[in-house]
Amino acid sequence: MSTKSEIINNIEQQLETYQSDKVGESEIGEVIEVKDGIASIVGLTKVQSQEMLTFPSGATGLALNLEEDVVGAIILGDFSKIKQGDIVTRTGEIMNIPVGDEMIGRVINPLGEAIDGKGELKTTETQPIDQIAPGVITRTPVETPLQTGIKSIDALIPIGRGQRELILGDRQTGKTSIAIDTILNQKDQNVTCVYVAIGQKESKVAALVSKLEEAGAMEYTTVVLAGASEPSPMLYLAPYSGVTLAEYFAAKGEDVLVVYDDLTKQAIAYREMSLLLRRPPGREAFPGDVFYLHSRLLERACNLTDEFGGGSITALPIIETQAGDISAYIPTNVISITDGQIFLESNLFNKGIRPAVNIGSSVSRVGSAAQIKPMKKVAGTLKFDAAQYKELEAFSQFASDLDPDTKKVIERGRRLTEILKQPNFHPMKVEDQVVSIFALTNGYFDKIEISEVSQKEASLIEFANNVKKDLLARIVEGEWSDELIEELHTTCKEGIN
Amino acid sequence: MKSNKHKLKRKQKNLQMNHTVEIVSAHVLEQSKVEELAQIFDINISDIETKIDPSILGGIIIRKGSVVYDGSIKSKLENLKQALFNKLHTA
Repeated sequence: MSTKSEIINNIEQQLETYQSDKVGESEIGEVIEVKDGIASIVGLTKVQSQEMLTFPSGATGLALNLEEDVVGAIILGDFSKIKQGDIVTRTGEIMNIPVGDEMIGRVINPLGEAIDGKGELKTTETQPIDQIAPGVITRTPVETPLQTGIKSIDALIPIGRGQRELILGDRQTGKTSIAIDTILNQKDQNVTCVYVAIGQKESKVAALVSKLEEAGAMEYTTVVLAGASEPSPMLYLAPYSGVTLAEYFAAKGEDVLVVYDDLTKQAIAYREMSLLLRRPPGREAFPGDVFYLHSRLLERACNLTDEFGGGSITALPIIETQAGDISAYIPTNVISITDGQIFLESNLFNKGIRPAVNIGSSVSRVGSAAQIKPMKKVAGTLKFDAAQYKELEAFSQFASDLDPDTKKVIERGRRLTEILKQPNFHPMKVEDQVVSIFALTNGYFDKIEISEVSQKEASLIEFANNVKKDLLARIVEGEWSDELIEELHTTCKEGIN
Repeated sequence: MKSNKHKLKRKQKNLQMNHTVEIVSAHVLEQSKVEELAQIFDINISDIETKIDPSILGGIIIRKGSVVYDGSIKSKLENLKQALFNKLHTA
């Protein structure tokens, strides 16, 4: 703490060397109408599209509608203090947010301001929010797995780093749970995570954040929150803020995972904003560019070549369907943009199959290129077995009247379903998954009662982790040899009984 | 649906803002000074509206359409305060 005279000396020094600025030139406009978070402004003759504007109340606005005699601007923040006659100033900057490593572990709003009460964020860099996605030359094929820790996904619908995989389902089917489990599983995987919460209850997000903190996931995760009570422009911007932050990390060569939870709410907020801006409504009253809203967001997720840093951004957008209708407007839009979808069904969820993944309708267009060799080998026949079982499932009621081969398929299928069930917040390491699925496909669970399968699986995994650490390490390395297969057989024999 | 009256009002407001010039000073300006300013900023004398606002402390603020040239003492002092604050804050 400097003394009084020190401070005075300092100020005197600064005053002597102070260079007064030239006459300041700025461009202004006057608000002639403000309602529902949209301000109509005259003046601002040279304003650029999506430029940030400042209002006297301190709020920031974004100039979106540039018409002949008036500018339509959305207000990012509290619009109750803005009145007719207010003088609006151009900032000269296109919408940007602060980015930096300081954001990790924090909860921020779409403008980059901290809202978790842990102190102000001191960042030095800013990045524009609406950037053009990387071009063809800067991209490289997706080859590294992104392990979600969820058996049904890692085995049957594998996701790679740089892929966009859509999570689709009705309300309360476990969409957020899949995303959170994936984030939890990135603990030792060198993946930075960004979770964008759009239009969610702030209490729910607070619970999520504390869950992430408990599991130590906040050490590599940033949460971007635009809560349900925020004005629609904030909900519209939130995903773009999330991917801008992700791009900052990816440019440094890091692998990033971005979860958008959920894009349906963003589309609805964008519809609200567009209707208030008097833009013509199209199908389901959505504006004509609602596809572009999502495509330009999701195209920014990619795998970059070494020349451009070698980083990657994996996107997990979430869409909520109504009554399982995946052929509605927004779901079909996003399905056509992403590299695959994970389809969650309510009736599977209600039957106790959780995660409620419909294996038949879910797909990953990257597929086994994003799996380690052991997993590729053991999961190879899994999808086929599951499909066979599904066909015969209806006959399982007549189990006693069926021929032995059909019975075998049904019994194996029932055990497959049991194995693929997984409790919430318990992602499983890939080597444990390999052991479990190996045991399943080689018939080691065939003689176990259905109700005991999970228990036996758990004890097998425990056994492998205690006694066969070396084997597990070799699986992680990607080894797959006859000798390793032999050892797996031994492990299963000893682990299950 | 916007009525014609509404559209006309907007056009009127637009003209009001974009085609007028306002000069704000702390004290009354001599006519010769006003003429000099008109020459420098390339404005018609007849378009100029002068306004007296003692709170700017000195200097002038010229609003030509929607562009504002701020040469008031008040803003210069504000900028000084901000610059000092920034320098001392980061020191």
